[in-house]
Amino acid sequence: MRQHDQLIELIPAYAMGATDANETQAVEAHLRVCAQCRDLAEDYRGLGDDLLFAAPLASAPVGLTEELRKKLNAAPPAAPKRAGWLDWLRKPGFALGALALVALVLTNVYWAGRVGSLQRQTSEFAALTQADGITLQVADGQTHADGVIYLQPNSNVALLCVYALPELEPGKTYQAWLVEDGRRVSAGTFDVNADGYGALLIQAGRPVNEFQQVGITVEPAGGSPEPTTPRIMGGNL
Amino acid sequence: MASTDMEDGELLQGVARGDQDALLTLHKRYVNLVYSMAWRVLQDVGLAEEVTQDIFLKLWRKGRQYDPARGRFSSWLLSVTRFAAIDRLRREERQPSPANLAVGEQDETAALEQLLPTDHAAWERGQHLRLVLEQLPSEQRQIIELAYFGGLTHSELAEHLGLPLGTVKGRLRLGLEKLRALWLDETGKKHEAARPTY
Ligand SMILES: [Zn+2]
Repeated sequence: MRQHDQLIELIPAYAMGATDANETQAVEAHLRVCAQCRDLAEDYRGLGDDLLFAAPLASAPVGLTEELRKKLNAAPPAAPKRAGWLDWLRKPGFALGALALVALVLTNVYWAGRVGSLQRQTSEFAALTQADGITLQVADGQTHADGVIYLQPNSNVALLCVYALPELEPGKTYQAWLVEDGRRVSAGTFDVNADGYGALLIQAGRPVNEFQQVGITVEPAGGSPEPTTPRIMGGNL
Repeated sequence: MASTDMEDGELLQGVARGDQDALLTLHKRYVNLVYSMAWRVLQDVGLAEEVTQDIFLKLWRKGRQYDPARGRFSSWLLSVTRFAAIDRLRREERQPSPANLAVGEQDETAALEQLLPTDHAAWERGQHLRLVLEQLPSEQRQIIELAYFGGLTHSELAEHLGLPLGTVKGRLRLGLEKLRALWLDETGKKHEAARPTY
């Protein structure tokens, strides 16, 4: 009962998404056992829904619809089929996508503190996009996502690209793993942009094709020494 | 039937089939609403425009993410926009700011027409709620807006406002309780002339 008295005070903030992570956890655990708090949370969620329409009205700049029409002609269609990523890479609109990917790769490499020579990275990237891609298998619940890893035989470098993965909440990151005899070695962490695109330039100590598998998990920011959550995507090398 | 006369649900089915006209019709219908939310959170024309376009591009690529069983399309769309804009705010490392009420008051009629026929009622409720929000003491209104449109949590609010955590929690709770009471009062007594009491 004491717990109820404390947690019911957090319900309004919780329904607006304003509780801190530890509070959110405590409230959610309590909601499973307390009908009164569940009703109250539902009530405040209704208020939150009405607030969605309470922003002052601002007129979008003219021409946005026309601009969207142009973008659509360069973008992949809804619900891409499983091979969508590879098809998309071959589309004329890829030029823009490739630039975005280079930027992403460089950003990820930069933030990982592993910048050697940006020029070298870029040329390696260019070579890899000519390489054969291996399409990754997607775990249940990630049905819109696609992934592909590009590697060349006997090269220590590979390029991992993902498409339509959800953006993660702050404090979380995607982490790639290379698997050898059941042992998982970190291949680096990466984030995805607002469109769900992400890319990671993997630099292994030896040829990437000597590993048996690649996998991706969600880990706390900074990455983990070994996976702490189930794999969301992966494939045989 | 012209796509402009179709219901949201039919248009979404069109989007899932790859029908560009269906998406462009949804865009025309909701672009101002989405942009208003993005602008309210980001207070930056360029960023709001980017987030707005992004929302519709995502709808194009992942049209099936919306589940009709979980509520109206417009609510889902605005909720997705709110999260995307808050996320962008954080990534740009910008501070959330209070609403600038001077902006956005023009062209209301034109924008309103764009919303018809689907969600005139929801929009009207929301705009009415905005007026109710303005009846709150300014420090309570400010903290609600920072939490809701700025995406700040208790500890972030405390840091942003330079106040003790306990003060922030109490103020947000009181503000939301009062807003809810006023709102219930307003929606319950919509046709009565009496001023709300609390
Ligand atoms: Zn309770």
